[in-house]
Amino acid sequence: MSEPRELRPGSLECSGSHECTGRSWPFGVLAGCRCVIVAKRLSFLPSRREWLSVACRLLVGASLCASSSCLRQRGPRVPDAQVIGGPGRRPGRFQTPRALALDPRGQLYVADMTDRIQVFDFEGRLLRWWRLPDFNVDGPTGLDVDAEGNVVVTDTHLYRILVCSPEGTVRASIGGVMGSGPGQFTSLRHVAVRPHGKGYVTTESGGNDRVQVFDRDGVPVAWWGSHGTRLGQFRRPEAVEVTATEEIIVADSCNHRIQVFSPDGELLRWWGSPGRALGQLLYPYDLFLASDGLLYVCEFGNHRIQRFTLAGDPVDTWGGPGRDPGRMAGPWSVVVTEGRTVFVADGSNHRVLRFEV
Amino acid sequence: MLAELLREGVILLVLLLAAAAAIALLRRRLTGPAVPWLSASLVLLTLAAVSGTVWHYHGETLRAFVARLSVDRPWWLLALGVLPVLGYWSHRSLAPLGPGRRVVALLLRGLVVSLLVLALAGLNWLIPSDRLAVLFVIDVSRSIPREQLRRAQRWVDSQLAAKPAEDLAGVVYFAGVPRLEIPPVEYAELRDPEGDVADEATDIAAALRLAQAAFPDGAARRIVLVTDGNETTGDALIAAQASASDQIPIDVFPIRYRYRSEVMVDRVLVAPQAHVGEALRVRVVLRATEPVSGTLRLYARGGGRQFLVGEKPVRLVRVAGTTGDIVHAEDFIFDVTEPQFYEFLAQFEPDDPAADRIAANNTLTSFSYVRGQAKVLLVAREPKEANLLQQVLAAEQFEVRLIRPPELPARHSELYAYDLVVLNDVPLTDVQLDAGGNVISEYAITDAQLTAIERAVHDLGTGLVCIGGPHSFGAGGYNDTPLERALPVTMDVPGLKVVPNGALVCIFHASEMPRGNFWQKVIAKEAIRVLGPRDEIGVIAWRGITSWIHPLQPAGNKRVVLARVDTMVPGDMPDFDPGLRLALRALRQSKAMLKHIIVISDGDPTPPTPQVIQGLRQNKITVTAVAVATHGGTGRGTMRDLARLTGGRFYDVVNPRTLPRIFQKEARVVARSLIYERPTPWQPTVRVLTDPLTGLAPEQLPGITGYVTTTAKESELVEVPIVSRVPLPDQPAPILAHWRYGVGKSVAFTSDAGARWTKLWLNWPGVRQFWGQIFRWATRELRSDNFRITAHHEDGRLRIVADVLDEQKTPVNFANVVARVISPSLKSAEVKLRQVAPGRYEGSLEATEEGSYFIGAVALVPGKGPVQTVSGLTVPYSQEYAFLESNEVILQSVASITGGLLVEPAEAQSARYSAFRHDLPPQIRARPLWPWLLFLAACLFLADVANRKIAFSLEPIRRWRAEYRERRRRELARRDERLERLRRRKQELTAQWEQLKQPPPASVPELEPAESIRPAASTPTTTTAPDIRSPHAETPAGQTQQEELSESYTQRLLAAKRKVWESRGSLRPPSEHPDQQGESKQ
Repeated sequence: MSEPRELRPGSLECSGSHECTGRSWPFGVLAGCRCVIVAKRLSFLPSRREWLSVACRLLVGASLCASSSCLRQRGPRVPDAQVIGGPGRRPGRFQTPRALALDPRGQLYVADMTDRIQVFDFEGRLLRWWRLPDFNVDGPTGLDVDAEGNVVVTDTHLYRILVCSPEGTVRASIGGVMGSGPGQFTSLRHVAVRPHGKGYVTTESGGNDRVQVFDRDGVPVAWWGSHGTRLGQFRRPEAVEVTATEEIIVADSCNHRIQVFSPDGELLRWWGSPGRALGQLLYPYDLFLASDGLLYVCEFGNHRIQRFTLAGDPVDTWGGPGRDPGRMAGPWSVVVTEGRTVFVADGSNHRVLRFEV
Repeated sequence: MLAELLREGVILLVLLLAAAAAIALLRRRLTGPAVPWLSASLVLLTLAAVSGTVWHYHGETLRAFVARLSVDRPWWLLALGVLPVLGYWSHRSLAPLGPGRRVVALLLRGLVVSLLVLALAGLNWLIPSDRLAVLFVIDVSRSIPREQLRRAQRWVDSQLAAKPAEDLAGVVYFAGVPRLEIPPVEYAELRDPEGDVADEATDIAAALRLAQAAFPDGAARRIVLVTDGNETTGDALIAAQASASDQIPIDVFPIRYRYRSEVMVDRVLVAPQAHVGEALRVRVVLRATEPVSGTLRLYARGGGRQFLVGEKPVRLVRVAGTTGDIVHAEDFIFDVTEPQFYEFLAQFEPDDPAADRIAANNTLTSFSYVRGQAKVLLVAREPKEANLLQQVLAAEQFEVRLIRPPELPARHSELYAYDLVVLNDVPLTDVQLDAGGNVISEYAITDAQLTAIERAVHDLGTGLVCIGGPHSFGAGGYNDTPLERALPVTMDVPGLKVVPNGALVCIFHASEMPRGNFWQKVIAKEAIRVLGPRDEIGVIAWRGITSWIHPLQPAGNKRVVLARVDTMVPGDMPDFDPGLRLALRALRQSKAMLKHIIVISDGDPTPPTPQVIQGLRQNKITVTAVAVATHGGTGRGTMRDLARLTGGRFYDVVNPRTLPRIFQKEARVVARSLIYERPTPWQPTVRVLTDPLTGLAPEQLPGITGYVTTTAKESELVEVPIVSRVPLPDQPAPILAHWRYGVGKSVAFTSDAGARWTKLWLNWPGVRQFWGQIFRWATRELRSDNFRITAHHEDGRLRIVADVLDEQKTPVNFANVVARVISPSLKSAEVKLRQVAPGRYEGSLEATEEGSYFIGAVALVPGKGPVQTVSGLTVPYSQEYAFLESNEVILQSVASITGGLLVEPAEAQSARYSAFRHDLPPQIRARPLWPWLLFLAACLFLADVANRKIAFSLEPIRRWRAEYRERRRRELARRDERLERLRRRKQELTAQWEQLKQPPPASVPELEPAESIRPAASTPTTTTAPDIRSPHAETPAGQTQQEELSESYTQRLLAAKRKVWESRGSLRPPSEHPDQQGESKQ
């Protein structure tokens, strides 16, 4: 009661249960003070200083809100995307599409967990589809097309690589024996075609995490790597890509990094650490070296696509978790056309997304 | 036109009046007692006028707006009647607030009350939608010919393929029980039903009800029913009527068939009870639609063997002139040689298989029970563990059958033959591993097996003795099982002060087996159920990142964790490492004594790093790896290594049904703390000698070295004659407890039978007597000679007839006879039998299931104890196989009642029919507005409080305005002053200038004296100045002073000028000269 106040005649007297303190007006009200004050000087209204402090707080709050919304905005951008397919087993639909490849004619090959390989044209129209000869629980995780248009596919759970015609006729089979010896596989993750028809490069996981290089006849010529976190070791190398100079880029998924090797297995450079920021990675599941010289990385854990230069400098990201077109849920694979159209296998959304970058 | 103008004029007038009155009121010009009424009526008038105007001009929009509103409980709107009362009362009580705030308070209160009333009335906002949802309800019961079903499925799939993108489609498969296979979604594709379908019955009504409930809001609804119309339970027409009242049309796609030639075994008749040496007659009745010939065989099954009783060639011929089915009976004679439970199976094999469409109805069973010695089913893990018990039972003249736990009768008809079941340290699940960690054998006792035991005790009077050991009771995982219900003790130990606890973390990976997520949830729940309230539980899964679904914490509130598990959707985990790391971190901080992790996965994730494995080993955390639907070697290897390296167990699961039990067992690793044992024996305390202990000397009872902790049930029927006061003397733990459960008796002995904890007992002379008495006491007592029941099946009902006689074989009247019936699906029902004749009692109940029904009856004869007996019968093969043609009536009625179409096959094949045709009225979805109304009311209420508590006043603003005006006035005044001065100065200077330019007036010489006072030669300017100023005589004194100052300034200037001229030696300045001259001349 710092200042005296007048009570108008006839007004209710203060019940006395609570002593009003002039400046704590909201608390007085909330504490149930029943006095009706008609004062000449409204001492229970906040002073100018208090107005100022409230205003400052509001300002700080508002700016915090704004900055937090900015932070939200700062996630990867969500560009427009065309949706191809949807969940289902019908032709043209997918059950967790996990591997994509582009052939020289620009046709898109999609492998999903029903063990089917479906072929689409550039506009997303289904052209044809076929099944792998033997089915074992789920489908292939790696797919590539060689210069002649042959489809090279990892028959993951049968421990072999199949080379098929564009119509699905098996032309060759590499491996087929489970094991850790040369030419044997444990859990095949990916296959990439070496330039100039020299052969293939594969990655595998399951405790025997390594890279194997094969010649065109399927004879293993080099292999390296083991399960672990040290450099040169891998934990689930989910993807591999070969540059024109035969550098072998490996997506070391569970170590959240990219490792680049010479053709004989010498580690040239590596980058990546787990995280959500630009340049960081969370479960990189696929790589694609585009014609513009940029490396497109599909991040299963961050639900986004990130681009790097071959030196490992990050360029940008897009996508982000969600079901809207342009967002992704557990993407498994990415391919890029000459005209920089990007196709992403949006695994848990059971669809393929087409971005124009 | 005129009327309109008039109306508007009136409205305007009223508005003006209201405004004027309001202003007057606010300015307190009006006083007097009528003021409140006046103001209230003014407000009402204004409101009426405003609303009238708005309604007139925007009626259309308003009507559309109002049409979008609906009220669930219109009666609540009557509560708006309190508004005037509230207004009157508030108007008085709020008087001190002053008029302005009072009006605001009244308005706010009125609004708050109105909003609350609207919220209570359930105001809804209606949103129309032209979306269509179609549910395909497909009958997959046995009566549907498979090729026709496949054709129908193809048809449904083609309909789904042609679905407009925005419409929704779902699928319900049904037989006896409906299942929502695909909820209404945009992307629907038909697939075969996942998992088992109970296809032995058809319940169209239940399927329709499920479909009706499964429709989403805000879409027009249609059901497409694919069925043959034959139902075994429920009433499809009633469900169709419900559907019609819900405005859900049902299109029917009929599956039509008609079997021209069919033969079936209609019934097998045999006396339910027989005696050794009797020639039992078994009569088999055949029924056929057309003449047929074939072979009829009768098999008998009993005591674990099956043998052929007889084989006869049979020819069914039509008696000339008759129509309808041909019926033929054939008798077999069976010589009863040993007391046994016999099941008879009749099988007919037609010579020409084409003469019979359905093979399933060609066999039928029935049974008969031949009594002999009391029989005991002894269940033990190892035969050697049951040596003592076997000897005791043999000495007591029991006929013993020793089995291992997995052989527990799955068919409860076998259990029915035993009078006593003894479980000797039997765990619920068990896995035997060899040195290499390979599974030698594993089993899991199913709930059905336990339910059979429990029902047998409760309803059939079978005795149950459960003997402890390290794998029994709570330590064996029997918490919340049917067996626990039958026992006199519970597995929980809530009363103990110190209970060592365990911690369990479950890590789930999306499973690719059918209904994988469903099974994962079942598993998690089973594991959680086993844990005690102090045990800790945590659940980890991949949800875009490996994270806790439920962080590790005591399982006290199991509902929370169960709810979290229910909403869990585990994703495709790439890596085991983060999950195990999370678990390791949490378990390391946990103070639990036992720490355990269960991982369920297909083994695809990449193996954990050695650091994590090391961490797990260091912290003594075991990991059990359950490999489910692995892809082969790699995944299995990863999982096996994980278990091997951490000292856990590895399971490779093929049948998901065993999963829950495995998890229970694993969770029980955590619950193992229920065993209490110590190396030195102590003597248990005998509290009282109850019936089973009669004649025992309590002090001779040898010591024990361990037991499983249990708690006696709080029931007056439970007796606990032997307890252990170790380790807690004030909380004795039951060692021997027994009670009557239903008709039967059950005994729990929580120590063991000589294997581990009661070795001293083996040398005790009284051990045989002890066990013998317990077994005798628990065994079923049957005195069925004077109490017989018979049962038969007709029209889907079981009719039970009981005859009660006394010792003199005379009928007993007024007995209280109750029969308990166990159905083939182990459901129990009680039937009270009514007396219909002297000594004869009857009752019936519905029995539509196929299989064996067991009946246990108790007769309470006045003045005597209860008498028991058992019986049973077999209901023939599923009703599904009795349907020889589709039910056209049902098919057509369902469609016509609901206004749907009967899709004729030709129409279905052509593209004319579409399930997704948009011919239904658009559906309206109601969005409840009450949360918003409530929120708004809360805000307004706050505003009302603020309005009453805070005297908002314009005073500060007025003050600020006054201050501002004052400041401004002063400033203006200052500015005026300055301007005035300048103006005046200008005037002066102008005047001076004018004077200087004009010749001096004639009166100047009169001013000579003034000139005389000047020290130097005077100038005309100085002399004339006072004259020029004469018109401004009223100028204030200050101004004069200033003028003097300015004058002196001019004079000073002139003097200075003159000085200059003087110093130059000339007498006068040249400019002055002529003037001076002129002046002098004048």
